[in-house]
Amino acid sequence: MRLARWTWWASIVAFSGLILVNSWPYFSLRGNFGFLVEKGELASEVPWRTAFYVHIAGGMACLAAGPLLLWNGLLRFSPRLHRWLGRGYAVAVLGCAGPTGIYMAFHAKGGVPGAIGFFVLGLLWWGETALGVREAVARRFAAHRRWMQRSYAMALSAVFFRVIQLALHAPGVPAEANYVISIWLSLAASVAVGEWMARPAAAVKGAAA
Amino acid sequence: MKTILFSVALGALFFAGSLEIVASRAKPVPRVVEAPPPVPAPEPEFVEVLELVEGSQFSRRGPTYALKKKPAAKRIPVVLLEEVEYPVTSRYVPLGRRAVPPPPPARID
Repeated sequence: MRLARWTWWASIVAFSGLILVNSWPYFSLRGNFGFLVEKGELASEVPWRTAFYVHIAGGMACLAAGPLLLWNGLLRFSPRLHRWLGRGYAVAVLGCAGPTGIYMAFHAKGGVPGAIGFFVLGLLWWGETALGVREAVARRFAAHRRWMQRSYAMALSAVFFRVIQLALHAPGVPAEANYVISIWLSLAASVAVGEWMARPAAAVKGAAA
Repeated sequence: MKTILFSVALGALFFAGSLEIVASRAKPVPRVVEAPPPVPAPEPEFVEVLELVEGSQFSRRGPTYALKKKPAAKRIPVVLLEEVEYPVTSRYVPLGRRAVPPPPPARID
């Protein structure tokens, strides 16, 4: 069980690291990236382009801070650092990646199903994080932990999305259908993983540890 | 609630600052030029042979025959694979194909 948990976290951190490394070049503000080129005229509009960069910056901050925030070791070692990292995470989701993700959902690839998928994802992510922050302020730390686990699982949808998209690409699922299916499957995976992480048994174990 | 609003406000501030940077420094996105629609292959050329007239000759390209066309006579290269009896009239002869002569008129003795 311990080995499974280590493997899980190692793969999550590795995939998150891969996303961070691959996303970094976007901050060169160049326009010749495939994702921007296929957006056409939209990518040239300043509000959308700004939302795109703010979304990436916020998402990267969440993926980097998430494992540290959920690590009991850091909480025991330095609660102060946990609080400051947590504040950064809250601003990254509630002020940056969440709202821009919801805005960008309206222009998402994959037509209406794709747009709805990203919109629901953004809304859930923002809502769960807001609830987590509220519980922290109210000093209800057990509930705070559960909501932040769900929030981090939503941030991981970026990882799940890419893994599922690659898995569906291998057997030759058409690109358009692959994109929409990947959005909804990654959303489902995020909800499932969030519930698994926030299950009562895990909370008891975490408190005992 | 204050903390959430504060986070959103900080994000909005960050967005506004980024807006300025993107407006002034972001490089343009190259436009995708769509390939022109494929040009359909030209129809095979057919020559309406109205009448083969005298003056047929050979050229470097192959045998050419003077074809009497209306309104004016025109010289068109026609490759005949078989000897054609004169006259060939109102026949569609594709280039490089065999011109089929009409059946000989029935003899009336």
